[in-house]
Amino acid sequence: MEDKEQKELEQKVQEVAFEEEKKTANKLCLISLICMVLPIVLTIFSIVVLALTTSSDSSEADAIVFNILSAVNGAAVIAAIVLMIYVRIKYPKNIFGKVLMWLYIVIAILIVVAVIVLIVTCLVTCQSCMEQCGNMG
Amino acid sequence: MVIWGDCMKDFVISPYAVFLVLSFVVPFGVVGKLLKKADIERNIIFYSLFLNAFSIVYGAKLYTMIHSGFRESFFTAGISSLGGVIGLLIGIAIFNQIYRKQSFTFWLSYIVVLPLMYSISKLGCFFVGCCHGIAYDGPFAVCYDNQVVKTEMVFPIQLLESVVFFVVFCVGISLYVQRKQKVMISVVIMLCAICKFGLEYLRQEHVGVVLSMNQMVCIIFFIVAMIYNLKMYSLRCKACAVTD
Repeated sequence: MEDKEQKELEQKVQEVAFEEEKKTANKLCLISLICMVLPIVLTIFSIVVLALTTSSDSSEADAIVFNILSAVNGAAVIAAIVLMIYVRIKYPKNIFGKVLMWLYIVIAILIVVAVIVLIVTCLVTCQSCMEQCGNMG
Repeated sequence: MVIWGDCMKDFVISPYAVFLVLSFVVPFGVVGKLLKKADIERNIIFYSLFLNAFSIVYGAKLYTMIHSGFRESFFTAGISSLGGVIGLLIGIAIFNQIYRKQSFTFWLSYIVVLPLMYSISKLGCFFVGCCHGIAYDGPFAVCYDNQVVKTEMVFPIQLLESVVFFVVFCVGISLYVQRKQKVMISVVIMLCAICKFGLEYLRQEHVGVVLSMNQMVCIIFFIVAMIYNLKMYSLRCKACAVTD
């Protein structure tokens, strides 16, 4: 009888721990997703703002702010990937984590495909395409 | 003496992009093999490569942005190798915080391929003409006449960098194979820093500059590697004293 109660108690503890883990993992996945989506939204927003201000009163300061924002966006993307990997390693059974991983893989593949398309379409080393490292070496 | 015949013209396919892609694919393949040999699970290797690919690109672009005083956006900024190295090192450090097992193996595997990565990417610069050398008309001199750059006869610094860093990669791999792995990390970083520092003087960008930002970063890398080496040496001495 005591054995049975103890087993039930252990099972309950495990369930609670599993639920807690699931909650934490889902929270981290949500933050990761926000980190990935927010830069896209912010980039579109800032491009629109920059386009609107270009016609009237654009300054170098605006461009610098836009550029700093783009750097922050990049950092957010890295943070999103770090969080996804954290979830995949610490909570490998979490479904949200798995979905995120595949989503990011698809995004990465799209980026690679875009680079390949650039290579193919840049039939010459044109200035507008991916042609050089800007002498940064 | 010109061995390339006419000046380098435009190519049918952008060589810069081709070598850029290769500079990721080949070294990452080597890293994958080394990590697999160290019995690290496939999915863990994949996560590490995935994170580091992004952190290299981010670091490379951020470095250029900082160098330009944020006058270039993330999308238009060029790719800097030193920035890429900084990005990679931060990427490895972050990954080791998540996955704490065999962290030294990760450091080893990535650092050994750093010179190979640089060596391949420099071939892209060589065929396009960016990062070109100082005016020079001796053996192996090259000139460019394409949409990116038009030059007189210049020193093929990119090709020299590519060869020198490939030699550094070979040195690193031989140390890795000989199991002198603790020494390998500092030797490879110090050799890379010395070579990059010295070869900068042959670049057109360096003319009129006493110490470029790249050289300052090289000095920092050298000092850090030196400190690491001294620390390893003192640890070894302590271990020897204990056994004696």
